Amino acid sequence: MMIRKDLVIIGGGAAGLAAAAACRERGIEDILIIERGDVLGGILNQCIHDGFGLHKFHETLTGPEYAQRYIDMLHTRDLPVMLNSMVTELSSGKILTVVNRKGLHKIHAKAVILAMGSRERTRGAIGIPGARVAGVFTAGVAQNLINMKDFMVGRRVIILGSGDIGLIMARRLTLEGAKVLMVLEKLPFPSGLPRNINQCLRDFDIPLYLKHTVSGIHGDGHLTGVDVVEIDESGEIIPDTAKFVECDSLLLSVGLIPENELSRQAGLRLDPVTGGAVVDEYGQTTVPGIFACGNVLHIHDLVDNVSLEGEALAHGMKLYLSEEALPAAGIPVIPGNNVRYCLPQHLSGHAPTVISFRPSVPGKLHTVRFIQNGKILKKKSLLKINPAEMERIELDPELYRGGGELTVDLVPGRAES
Amino acid sequence: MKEKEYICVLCPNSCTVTVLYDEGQVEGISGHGCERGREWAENEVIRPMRYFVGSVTVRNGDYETVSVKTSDFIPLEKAREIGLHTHSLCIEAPVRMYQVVESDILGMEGINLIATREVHLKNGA
Amino acid sequence: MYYDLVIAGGGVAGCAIARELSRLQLKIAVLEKEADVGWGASCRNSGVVHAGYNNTPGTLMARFCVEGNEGFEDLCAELDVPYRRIGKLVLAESPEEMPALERLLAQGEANGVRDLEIIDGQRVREMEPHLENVFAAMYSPNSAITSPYQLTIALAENSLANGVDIFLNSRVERILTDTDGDGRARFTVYAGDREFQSRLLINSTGVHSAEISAMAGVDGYSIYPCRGEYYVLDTYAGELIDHLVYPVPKPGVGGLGIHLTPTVDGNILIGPSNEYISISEDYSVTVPVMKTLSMEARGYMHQLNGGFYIRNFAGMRAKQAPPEEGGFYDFVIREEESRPGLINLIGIESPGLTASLPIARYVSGMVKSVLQRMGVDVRINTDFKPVRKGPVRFSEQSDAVKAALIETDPDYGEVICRCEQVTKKEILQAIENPLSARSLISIKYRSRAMMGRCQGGYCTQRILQILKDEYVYCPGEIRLGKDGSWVLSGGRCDIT
Repeated sequence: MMIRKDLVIIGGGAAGLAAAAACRERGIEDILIIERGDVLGGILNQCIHDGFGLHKFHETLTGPEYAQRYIDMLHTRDLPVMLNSMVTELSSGKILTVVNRKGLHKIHAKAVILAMGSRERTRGAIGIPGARVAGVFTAGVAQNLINMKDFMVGRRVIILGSGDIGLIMARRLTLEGAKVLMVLEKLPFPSGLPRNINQCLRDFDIPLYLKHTVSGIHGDGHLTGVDVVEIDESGEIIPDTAKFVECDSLLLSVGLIPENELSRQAGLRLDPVTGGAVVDEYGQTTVPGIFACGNVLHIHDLVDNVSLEGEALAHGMKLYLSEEALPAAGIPVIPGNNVRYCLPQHLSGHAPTVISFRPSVPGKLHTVRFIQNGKILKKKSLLKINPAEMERIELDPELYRGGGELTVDLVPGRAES
Repeated sequence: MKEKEYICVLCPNSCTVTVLYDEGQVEGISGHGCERGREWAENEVIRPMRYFVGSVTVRNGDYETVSVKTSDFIPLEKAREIGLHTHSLCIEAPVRMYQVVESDILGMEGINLIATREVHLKNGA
Repeated sequence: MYYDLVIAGGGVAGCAIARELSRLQLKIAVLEKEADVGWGASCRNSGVVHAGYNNTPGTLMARFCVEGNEGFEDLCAELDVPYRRIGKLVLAESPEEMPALERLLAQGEANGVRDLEIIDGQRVREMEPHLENVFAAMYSPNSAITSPYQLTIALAENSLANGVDIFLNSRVERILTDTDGDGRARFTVYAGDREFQSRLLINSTGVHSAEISAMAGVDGYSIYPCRGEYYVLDTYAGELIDHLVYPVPKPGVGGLGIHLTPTVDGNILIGPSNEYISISEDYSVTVPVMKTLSMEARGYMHQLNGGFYIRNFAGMRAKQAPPEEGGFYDFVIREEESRPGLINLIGIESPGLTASLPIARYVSGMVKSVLQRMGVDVRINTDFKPVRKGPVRFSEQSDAVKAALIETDPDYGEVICRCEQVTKKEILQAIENPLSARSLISIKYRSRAMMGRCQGGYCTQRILQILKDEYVYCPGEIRLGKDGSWVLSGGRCDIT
């Protein structure tokens, strides 16, 4: 028996919650959130540290508090939620198969929002050589085990990767009485937010070794230690620099990958750089009526931006549900010099536009330029740029509508007027 | 005369604040965007203050732990001690958001350890 | 403890032998040193059911491989183990490689392998549109794949159901031999704090077979451990090929070359490599090999890039051929003249998996002769149950069956492993297995949880919680695999 819904949101984490709240606000009535966990909030539930909401709510909240703000918004609007429910299939015709303890359900949605978040890159994916031993975890799993399950993973810890999750866990483990020996980062600059380098490493005298990595894992059954090795300018391991360091836990914070299994099933186009869907300024993917936001679209560093991205879908969603089609997006957006990627990847020019992008290198004063047909449409000075920090810039559609390819680049120096 | 530069964490402006100090005495502060920022930077040199976040074991809850934070800034040097102290704490479900899990933590008057999530009774008991 | 026979080694050979012998009324014990069956070579291989053209005619390897291949589908059907006859393409990149291909075909035909044919590049591309650098190929339609760990587990479970005792965590430490009052051989085996007495001892200990033979008083065998590393690729990569893809074997190489192997679960394996090492069970994965594997894989298909890699593993071949020689020696399966009652299986490397049932029958024949010679009356076990039912895999069922399963048991409605769609019911069944093997790896092999692209990123914490809450494990007691592989140092509050 097919259930029909106007809007189904897959994932009740930060992105799904924000999208749900905003869509309700816009008057969209028939919404269902499908969440695989037993509560709403997604990964926020295990992010017990603060620093969330500085932009959105002008206060510093912990992850669970941030999630609760949105959950409260939804409760007052009485929005249906299926918890403990896994979407196992999504067709391009927007038919979902959902499995939970009550049974297998088929839902035909007019529109779908993908908000499934991301998974962590694993040891196997980056090929760290050595023994197969217990004691190697991705940082997020360790975070869940400690914060949600009240377990402890070890006493002497090395963290590979200076992404935010690794930094946060360095502090967490220290406060729980473990000894964090070092954080290793293979790049010449840290991947996490400067704020976290301060609060998590400097505060506790935990050394950060840039241009270092783990080149071997030792142990028989359980981890006994790792080989720490230096990396040269071209990213290659410098032979003979390996030093064995004893430890009983290795936490990997080596990147997040958008979880797009359902997206592939639905046949929508994915961007190989972001790992997420190709979308237009409405947040719509290449399958009409399927939208995406949050980490499933591209990996964010601030949950506040995830919320903004989710909320921004409401405009296009309202339009789609009433008109059943959105204007075609014919203007490609191309990342230029010093820009790793930008979103959306194509534009129609008929809706308020926010371009999100990530610099590919860190630096001081730079200017971001939006160029079309050889003409600079807009430029803005940025005091500093950091691959760890995503930028969001509004662009007036009047400026670019009807034109060709739009390039976004970063040049050193200030923008002259 | 020593000089230290901090990126203030209090708001999104992330002002770069420079503090001049000599033998533990702050001589000058510049670059701050507001009074709170000035105070914060001053503390960073004399006695860094932080919010502590951690967890406390819950009995009979639908979660094993409740996430907690201190109700106000605490001296950074006390953070590890508070962390280990949470190992001796335990609270019964249900737990409300912002419920006081322990008051005057480590004898610090007026600073409580408060819950930052709800925990319901296990299996809807 | 008294047994008619003791089998040392709970790999696919030992378990197949145990099952085969449980067709007779005998008291049988299997002694396995690890915390589960099959953790040696049996779980660490490509899972290929070889057709038999790679083996020298007249050898046991050739005979048992062809026989094993022919009977494999039925064996898997009896044991409820996956089997897919996907066929194999042995690729020649240039006309220079054709003579080698033709020799292979001739050898196959001499061994009785059916339906082998040489096909041209165009036909190869019709079968495998993504393959590059192909001139021609030999097509072996009878080559197949199975799940080697599920097979080993199924053989063990069926053996248990038929009265065999399996002792895990029971490393053979000492073997005494003497004769009883009637002059018949008697073995006393000390393993895992227990003492076993038996008339016969079957040594199927794989890479340790020479050592165990020596322990039983028969020296003279040498085993040279030869490691093979693999990459496991995402099931998305699995969509790119349908057949086993091998290169033409190069002479002197002690393996079959680096090949692309689809698995029954939809992954691709790249490998194995071939490296003689000094430690018999060093399953480390190494950078030079990983680099070679990825380069060779991209030589087959440029799409097979690092984005698909989800993990590495290694296995160990029990080679009799020393490093300076390489190549293959035939299986040694014999009752030792100098030690009556000791049946040695030495050098069971590829095609050991394919040959497992013929090997078991061969050994069974030997056992019957030996017991007859000893004057022991051997009767048929009329209660023998050949069929073993495996767990229902939720992910493989139709929507209607899934719905019905959930209705009978809501634990089928709780998806714990998101990547492989493994439900709580299957996890519980895996935990409650008849061997009582409860490490995370034991659960993984039985349920498939933790084998997907996120490598346990979503399900591990849930499985640990289930072990703690529903099976009352203290956090520190939970193991990844072997003894000492603790997963958690304890509870959060244990550090004071």
